[in-house]
This record gives sequence, structure tokens and C-alpha cells, in this order.
Amino acid sequence: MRFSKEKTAGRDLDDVVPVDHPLKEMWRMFFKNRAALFGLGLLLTIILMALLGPLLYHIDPFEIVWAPLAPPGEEGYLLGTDYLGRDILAGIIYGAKATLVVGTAAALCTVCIGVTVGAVAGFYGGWVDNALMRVTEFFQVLPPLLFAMVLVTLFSPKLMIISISIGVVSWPGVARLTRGEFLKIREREYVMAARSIGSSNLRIIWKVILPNALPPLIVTATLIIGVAILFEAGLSYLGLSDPNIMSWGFMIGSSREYIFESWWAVTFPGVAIFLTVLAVSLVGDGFTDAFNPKLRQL
Amino acid sequence: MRFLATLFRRLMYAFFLLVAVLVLNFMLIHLAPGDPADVIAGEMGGATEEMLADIRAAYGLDKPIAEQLFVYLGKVARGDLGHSFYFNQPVTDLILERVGATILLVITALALSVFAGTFLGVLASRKPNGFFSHFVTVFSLLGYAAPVFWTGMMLLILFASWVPIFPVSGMYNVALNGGRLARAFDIFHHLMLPMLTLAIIYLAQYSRLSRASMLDVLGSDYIRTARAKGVSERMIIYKHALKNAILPVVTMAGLQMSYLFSGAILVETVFNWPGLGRLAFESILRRDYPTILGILFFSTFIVISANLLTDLSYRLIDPRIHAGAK
Amino acid sequence: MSDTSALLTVENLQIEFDVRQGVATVINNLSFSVNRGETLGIVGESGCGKSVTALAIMGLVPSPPGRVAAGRILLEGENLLQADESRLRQIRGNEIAMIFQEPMTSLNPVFKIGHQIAETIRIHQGLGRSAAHRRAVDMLESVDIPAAEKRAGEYPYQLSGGMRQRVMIAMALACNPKVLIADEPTTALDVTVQAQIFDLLKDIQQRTGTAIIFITHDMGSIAEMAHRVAVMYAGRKVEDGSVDHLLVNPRHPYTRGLIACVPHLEKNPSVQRRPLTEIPGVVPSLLLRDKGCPFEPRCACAIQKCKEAMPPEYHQKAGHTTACWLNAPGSDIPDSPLEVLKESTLEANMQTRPSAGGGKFSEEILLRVNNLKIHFPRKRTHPFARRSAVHAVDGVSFNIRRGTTFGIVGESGSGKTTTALGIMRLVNITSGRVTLGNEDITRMGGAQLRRIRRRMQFIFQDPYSSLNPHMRAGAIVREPMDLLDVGEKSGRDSHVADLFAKSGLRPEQRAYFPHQFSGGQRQRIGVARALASQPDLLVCDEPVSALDVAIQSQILNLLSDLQAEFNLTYLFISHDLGVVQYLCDEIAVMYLGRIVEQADRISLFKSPLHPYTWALLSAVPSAKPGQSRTGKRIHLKGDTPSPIDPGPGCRFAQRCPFAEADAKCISEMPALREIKKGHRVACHQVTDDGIAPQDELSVKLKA
Repeated sequence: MRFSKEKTAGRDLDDVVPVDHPLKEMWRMFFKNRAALFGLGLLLTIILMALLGPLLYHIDPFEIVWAPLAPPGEEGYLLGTDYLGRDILAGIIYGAKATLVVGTAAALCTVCIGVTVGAVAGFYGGWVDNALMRVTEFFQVLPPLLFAMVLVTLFSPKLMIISISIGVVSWPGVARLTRGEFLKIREREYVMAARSIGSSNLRIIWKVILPNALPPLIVTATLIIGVAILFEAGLSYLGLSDPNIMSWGFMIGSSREYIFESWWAVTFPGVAIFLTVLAVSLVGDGFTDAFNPKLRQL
Repeated sequence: MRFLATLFRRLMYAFFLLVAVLVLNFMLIHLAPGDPADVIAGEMGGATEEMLADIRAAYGLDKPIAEQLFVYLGKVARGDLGHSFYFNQPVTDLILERVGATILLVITALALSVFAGTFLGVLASRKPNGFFSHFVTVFSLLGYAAPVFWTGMMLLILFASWVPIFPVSGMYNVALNGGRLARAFDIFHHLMLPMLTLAIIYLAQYSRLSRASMLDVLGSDYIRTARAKGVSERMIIYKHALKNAILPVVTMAGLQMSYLFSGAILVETVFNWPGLGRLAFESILRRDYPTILGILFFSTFIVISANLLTDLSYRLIDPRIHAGAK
Repeated sequence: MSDTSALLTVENLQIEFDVRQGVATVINNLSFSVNRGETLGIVGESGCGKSVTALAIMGLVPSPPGRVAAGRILLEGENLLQADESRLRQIRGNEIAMIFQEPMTSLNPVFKIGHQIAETIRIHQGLGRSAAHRRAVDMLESVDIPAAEKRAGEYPYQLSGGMRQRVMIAMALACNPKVLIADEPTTALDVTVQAQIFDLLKDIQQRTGTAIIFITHDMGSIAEMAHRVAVMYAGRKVEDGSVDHLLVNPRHPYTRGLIACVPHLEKNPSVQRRPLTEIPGVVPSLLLRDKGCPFEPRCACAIQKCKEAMPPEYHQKAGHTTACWLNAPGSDIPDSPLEVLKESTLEANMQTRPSAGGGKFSEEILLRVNNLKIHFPRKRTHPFARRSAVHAVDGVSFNIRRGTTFGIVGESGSGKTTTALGIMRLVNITSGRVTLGNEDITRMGGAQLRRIRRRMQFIFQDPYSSLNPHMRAGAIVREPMDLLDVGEKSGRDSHVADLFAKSGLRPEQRAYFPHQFSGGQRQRIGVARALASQPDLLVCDEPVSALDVAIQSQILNLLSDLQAEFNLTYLFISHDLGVVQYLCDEIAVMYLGRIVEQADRISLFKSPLHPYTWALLSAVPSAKPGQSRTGKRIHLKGDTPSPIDPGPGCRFAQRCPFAEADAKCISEMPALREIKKGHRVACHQVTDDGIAPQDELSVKLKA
């Protein structure tokens, strides 16, 4: 045998069979994670409840159906009634919609603003970065809930206004993360390589940097949904929710004065919020683990 | 010398941020649907034509918009944040009456969550796959998912109603006649539940962060160097690793001041704690805009000051910052 | 078997790691010993278990996932593997100390360096705070750190890499350890700084009699530093012996390969250039435990027996042992595999290529660089600060003839990579002119620039970061064809397959993702991508320095072959003088943004004129034992100074041993002037008839 080229070429690869996109491998990791799957299942259940619940359970959550402050189980009202005699279970079933819609829309809004600002700042650097980061810091020192309260009060509490307000107050974190990722990836040699073969800036941002920055962004986007749900709950607890749509935070807020007389009226909607956010966080943590190359190697 | 220059720069920057908040306030008044004078008076104020005319004159609302801005800024520079028609009191006085209670609540909650959170995180990092470590992970997940006002209510039901060891609401017992110490203890007694409520979510986050940060640092080259020097495990954890691992925690504490303040609004509402948060809630209900915008300005002022402090303390821990090396 | 006279003995050590796919035997039946005052070199490619061995001696193998499965480690008769943690702590830093590869990250960033050294002393010698501090300052002085008292109060970030490594050494030696383990202590450092550290270590050993275990991948460093050497491969020791004997008569094919695959620096480079010996393939996965010799798949001389059984250790003359069937006494095959090697070398010699001076090159100039300047403005620290700039490249001019290889050599901070990026128009050019063929590309943009990119392509340093992990290998190579519109669309796929084959990859591998390739293969993909647009000029920025030594020769040979086949022109950037000497026809030496000397390859290495070139050449350790240890070497003081707003004089004046005598060096920048045909130098001290200051020095020394 000689020192031949044939021997050099990729002999250690001969038995490597799986040729999957790296993202696909991450999915596989995700589906091996029991906590994450539990979270996903829980989340799907809550979504199903929001979609199918109103079709199966025909009690209007705003309607006074029985005596006030009835404990769980009385007269077939499984979770009892509140201080006006409204059905708690109906509130929980119908309230899921507001929570999920606002949670997703607000998260989408947050991610859109944050990723755009962060990507532009991180990619172009220099004075663009400087200016955008000053703006980001400005939004970061405003107490988000207070700012959102002002916005919602000034512009009327509708689902869309609430979602946009939450997005406007919570994007700085996403922007900083995206900027950090872009700054890091911008220095990688494959970006320089893309430039050396004539790629345009737009192509580099979209085709080269963004796919590589995606894992941490997916994780954050997921976790942001949880934050947005908590945010919506906080606003509606303070009475800043759409008056025509039932929401869990509103249920708790309106029973605020009666917690010692009817613990169920605040406990159950709270559990609903808690479970939803928990489900979303578990999914987010599942993504984190799946994307973490350190964990994958072990 | 360098430190003074940095301090000066940070102070200038903080000043510009504050002016920017005022400009934002001004813009919000004008962007809102309806007459700015109505907004300033507040819808629930039952504003008469006479009052509106007074407001127009005071704020120069008939003048060009740029001049209006200067009138507004000039008023704030003299300490005048406007007049609350609902409370019938100058907004500045209203805020100064309440701000102490909020600062007490926020600072104690922050201290508790940072110290206890870091301690839990460090303990958990020593055995990353041990029972305690998993406990910290689960606890932080639960603490994160629970809405803070709900947690507060649950604690109220538990510790003020079922096992009544803490007072239901307020900051002190009005009927109490006692010495200074007795009063201080009374306030502390009232503070316990709101502080715990606010601390729990952040405690969860800090324990999780410091655990991850410690694990990261413990895998670094300089920890290997320390081991190779024969440093005891205790010293490695509490001296070599902790001083590095605390850096992200300090950063986070600075960044989270504004969130902590948001949490305070909800907690104060639950426990009727007489602070800025409760004031914000009351004025939102009454559409009392001068007050709410005043609070927005004032709370931003507190957040900026707190950021300045964390920034400076970060410099004390991490020598690299001095030279702007990193 | 245990040797009572040895200070530290490792016997039949076996270390296993639990990994996802099973159990990897990282160290397999390893034995060696080291005596007082002796330096034992451990050499091998990465993944051969060198560092794990060092950590095992310190009792620091991370567990889990690692564990010591068998063996003994004896320090003066005491088995360290049975010592408890508190006893190990007494030993670490006190009796056995260690310095690491990465000086930049091995010191704790938040403590002053004096404190970090004093800590070791306080732990082991129970000294008080101030006494320990005084001793720490003494230690800093003993490792030649100037202004030690002041330095002791500084933080690691304020020190250069070389300084930090000195601090690490001071810390390691603070308690007069019996054994010092140095794990690749100079790999992250420049060659002139490496020379300083080597001398320091040798000096310390002479003063204190410390035994040193010196771990490296570089045979040159072994020859310079070690008395004895152990060669490791895939967790096993394949050969050991005294340096003088082993490097002259290597017996194991792996050792021979390691020595032969590296282009070593020669004082008189031959005109003819022959392909480097390759060790094909990569270090095998330690999970697969074949019954045969682990080196067999890569061995040029393997016989049937090598597949079937693990060779035992054969004792040769003078304490020299090897583990290779070919070295078995009474074997059919001659005493050594030398014959087999000779045969393949003979064949290789037939393919020699012409090179500068020997063959003929076209006189056509492909690339002209004229007074190129690249400055990076710095952020001002406060609004009233003066504007300053990093003068990364400061007036560089050279021409490259078509079909030749032009090398730029320099240490870190010399501006060589920035020059390359400027020529590729990947960073902004401050002033000057770059001409490719007869087109001025200095200010080109848009479609014009894209058109010109077809003609020049870049090969990057780090094969792990230069390929987009989200693209398949085939798409990576095809992308430039699509973006730069090269050839017919329909023919592109077959062109990609063709390029794969030419670059030594299999066309089927086009569907793989980068992470499925080894480092050398990734670099082959990088080469194929660069060739995709059929360029005239290839700019190679340290294309082999991130690769293992055995893989380097594969890539260098590939570059050589492709140049011959496509008549390519190379601009080759490197810090490795051996590689530059091997590959380049003409060479420019850069220092702090300027070319200090430029010549064809023969004259540069035969008669270097600039004191910096001379210092650089003398700093490179030679693989021939004893040579550079007795030969004279000039020492450069300190590190490369900062390129921020440099003064008016010669950039090298601060470190130049000959500059003090002449104020001109401080005040006036020397111009690059031609001394002999094609040999240009920028130094006030070199006379017009080509007498360098160092020549006068050696004349004086002889007298």
C-alpha cells in the first residue's frame, strides 16, 4: 500500500448513515424529552379547550346563573360561582381564548420588533447599533406593566391594543438577545466566506446569519408567550381587559374583595394561568435542551 | 480619575434618558384620542369648561406644539408634575407621600431574592444532577409560571385567613400605640407577605441563573488552574467561582429593576400596600392621567438610579470594566 | 517493574470515559517514568490522550464521565491513585504543579495576579499575607517579569499572552514542586515568545532540578526541550527513548510520519521541492476496539499481523522501546520499516516540481499591491479624547507573478491577515491601490466587484467556522457558481462532483453537512469552494494552522497539486516559517503592519538581512536534537507592541537588539530598499552592500 489519495478521502465517514439537517436532529432531541412532551400535551389540551369548550359548554360566563359565592359542586356548578353568581367553570373555558390569543399575538409582536431591531443593530454595528441600542435602553427603563397600563388606558382596552401594548413594552430583551447572536455570528468565518463569493447583505442576514441564530430565538419566542400571558393576566386583573371578552385575570381581579369568602373564585382561574404558562415554559425548556450542543454530545 | 469620567458620563446619560421619558409623556398626552386638556383633566374629573380653560392656559395648549413641550419641561424642572383633580393634590406631593413604601417593598424583595437565589443556585450547582439541583429547577419553573398577584392571594388565604399569623392588608396598624421599635416591627410584620410574594418569582429566576452561571464557571480553565494549585473545594466554590458567577446575576438585577417595579404594582394592589403601585392602580381606575404619567416618570427615575448603582457595583467586582476591555 | 530511582512513575494506566455511544478507552496500558532534573516529552496528535495523562497525574480527570480503570501513579513510591482528596490537595501545586495551554483563560480574571500566586504559597507553606506577597513578587522576578512589584497588583486582562504564561509558570513554581507538567505551554504563543518561555523553563530546571513533563504536538519543541520522549497514539505509547536516539533513529512508522510530515525549517533550502510525507486519515475513534494495532489503518507499512494482534513492546538499544510488529526481532521484515519508506519516498521524488530559481515562471504580474494602508478607527473613551486608529496595515507594496506562490509571514498583530482581507476587499481599504491583472479593484463595488470576485477566492483558517453549518457540502461548493454566475446552470452539479474528486473527497459526500466531516476534510471543502469560480488568485489565510500536524501535510500537498494542475497563483499567509519555506516562491516578512524584508525563498532563509527575520528564524525550534540547543539564538525582549498610533521610527526599534546605538531607528521610518536582485529590506542598520548587523556580531564573536 502507498500513501495514496484514495486512502485519504473520508474513510472515517464510510459508516455514517444519517444525513439530516441539523434542525431535524434537534427535533429528535426534543421528542425524547419527557418534561417537554408533557408541556406540549398540556398546551394542546388547553388549546383544545379554548376551541371546543364553548361548543360543548353552553353557559355564558357573564350571565348570573345561581346564587353568589356558591362553593364548588353546588347545583352542578363544578367550580362554584363568584360574588355575582357567575359560573367559574364557564369563565375558565371561555377565558382561555383571550389568554391564548393575546399571548400569541403579543409574543409575535414582541419578536417582530425585537428581532428586527436586534438584527439591524447587530449586523450593521457602528452608529446604527449605537442609536438602536440607546432606544432599546430607553424602553428598558420604563416599568413595562405601568407603561402598558398607560397605553391601554389611553387607547381603549381591545384585544389588539392590549397585544400591541405588550409587544411595545417587552421587545427590548429580544432585541438585545438577537443583537448578541448577530454580533457573535457576524464574526464567524462562514459569513466572511459568504461575502467573498459575492453574497449581498440581505442574503447574508436572511440565509446565513438568521438560520444560525434561530435556536436561541425559537427558545425566547416560546418563553415570551409565557411572559405575554402573565402580562395579559396582570392587565386584566387590574381591570384593563376587553369588557366583552372573559379573561382569567379579570375573573381574579373582580373577585379581589371576596377572596376570604370565595377562595375558589380566585384559585381556579389562577391555576389555569399557572398551568398554561407552565406548559409553555416546559416546551421552551425542551427547545433549550434540544438546541444545546453541549448536552447533545453527552 | 477614569472612574469620575465614567460617573460623569453615566450621569449625563441618565439625565438624557429622563428627558426622553418626559418627551414620551408629552407625546402620549397628545397622541391620545381627544382634546389634550381633557386628558390632563382626566375623564372622571368631571371637568368644567372653566377648569379646562385653566389647564389650557397653564400648559399653553393654544401655542405651537414645540413651545408646549418647553412649557411642560419647564414645569417638571420646577418640580411640578401637574395637579391631580381626583385627589385634589399636586402630583409631586402625592408621589412623595407614597414612594417610601414602594422602595421599602422593592428593595427588601430584591435583596431577599438575589441573596437567597444565588445561595440556592450555588448549592444546586455543586451536584448538577442531584436531588437538590432538580428541586431548584422545578421550583424556579413553578415560581416563574405563577402570576404574582395570584401567588399573593394564595399566601393571603393561607397565612391571613386559614392560619392567621400575618395581617390582611396595609402597611401598619393605625391603632397601635408603641415605641419606635414596636412600630418598626409592626411595619415589618405587614411587609412580610407582600415582600415574600414579590421575592418568590425573582428568587426562582436568580436561583436558576446563578446555578447555570456557576456550572459554566466551574467548567472554565481558571477553575482547573485553582484545582491544580491545591485550593480546597470550598474555596474554589465560594471564592474563585462565585466572584465570577455573580457577574451575570448583578447584570440581571440591574436589568430587572423595571420588572420588579411592575410586580410591585400588582402586589401592592393585592395587599393594599400604600405605595406608588397602588396609587397607579387607583389613578388608572379614575383615568387620572397627570398622576399616572407622574408615576411613570418617577418610577423610571428610580429604575435609572438603580441601574446606575448596579453599573457602578459591577465595576467593583469585575476589574476588566475599568479599562473598557470587555 | 517499578523503577525505584524514578521520581514519578506511571504504570499500566488505563482511563475510560463514558460517552453516549458507550465506553471510550482514552488511555490504554500506559507506562512511563521521569527522573529528577529530567524533561520527558510526550508527543502525538490531538485526541491521543496526552492531556488526559497529565490530568490523571494531578488527580483531576473529570469524573464523571471519566474514571481510572487500572494502573498506578507513583510519586516517590506513593500511589497517587489511592491517596485521598486532602492528600492530593497537598500534592497539587506543592509537589506536582501544572501549566496549561491557554494562558488567556487559565488565570482567574477577577483576582490580581500577585494574589493568585500568593494563594498557592499560603495554602502550602502557611505563610502570612505579606510574606506570601513578597514571595509572589520574588517569583514574578524569577520568571523575568519587569517591574514585578507593580505587575503583582495588576489583573490578568492587563497582561499579554506571553506575560500570562510567565505568571502561570511563576505560580506553578511558587512552592518548588518536584514535578512540573507543561501541557502545550507555548501553542497559543508567537514563536519569539515561545523561545523566551523555552529558555525560561530550561533555566529554571537547571536552577531547581525540577522534573518536567512536557506535552506537545511539535517534534521541534521536543527536540529543543526534552531529554527523553514518549510518542502516544490513540491512548497508547507507541515508542519511547532518549531524544538524541529516537529523533535520529525513529523506529515506529507513526513517529517517522510525525517527523516527516512537517516541513522543517532548513538553513539551506533545496531548490527542488518534493511532496511531504502524509499520514492519511485521522486518529480513530477510541470506542472501536479492534484487536489489532490502532495505527494499522493509517500505516504505510502495515502487514497482515498488524490487523490481527496488538504488538507488544520491543526493547531496542539504549532504553529505546517501540510497539510495532515490524520491530520484532527475527521478523521476516528487516529490522526497521525504513526500506518500505524509502521506496515510497523514491516514487514521490519523481514528482518534484520546479520552484523559484530552479524552474521558469511567467513574468506576467497578476496582483499588484501599492502602498496599501488599512487603519481601523478606535472608539473614543470619552468625548474629549484624541481620535486614534489601529494601523493594522501601514504602507505595504508587493507584486505577485502568475503561477507563483507569494508568502507573507509574521507573528500575531503583524497585519498579514488584514492585508489579505484588504486585497479580497473584505475590509475597507484606507488608502493605496490593489490591481488584479490590469483592473484597479481598490474602489470597485456592486456588479463589478462580483465579477472580479470570480477571479480571486479565499481559503480560511478555521475549517470549523468557515462552513455554514446549515448547508450541505455540495450546496456550499455550488453557491459561488450560482452567485457569481459561473458556467452553464446545467453543468454546475457535475462541476461540483468534479471539484469534490479533485479536492480528495468522494462525490457522494456532497449530501453531508459540515459537522459530519473531520477538520482536514472540511478544509478540503473550503478548497473546493474556492476553486468553484475558477479563480486565478487564491488567497490562503493560514489554511493549515488549525489542523493537526499529520493533516497539515495532506492539505499542503493538495494545494501544491492544484497549483500545478490549474496554474493557480497563491497568496499564502502563515506564521509558520517551515510551511512558508516549503510552499512559497517569494516571501515577505511583516512586522506591525509593514513589510520589513522581502526575498525569494532561497536567499531569505540563507541570508536573512533584517534583524527581525533573523530573530524569527533563530526562534524556531529545529527537529534535529541538539542543534538549536547549542546554536546561538537572539532574544527579542517583550512582546509585539501595540499598533495603535505608532511613533515615527522603525516599528521594530523597541525590540531590536541593534537599535539602541542609532537614534535614526527611533526617529525615522526605514524605507524598503533593494540590496540584491529581488531582495529588499527595510532597516537602517543593513549596509548597501548587504551586511546585516547580526553578521558583524558573529564576526566579532568569532574573533
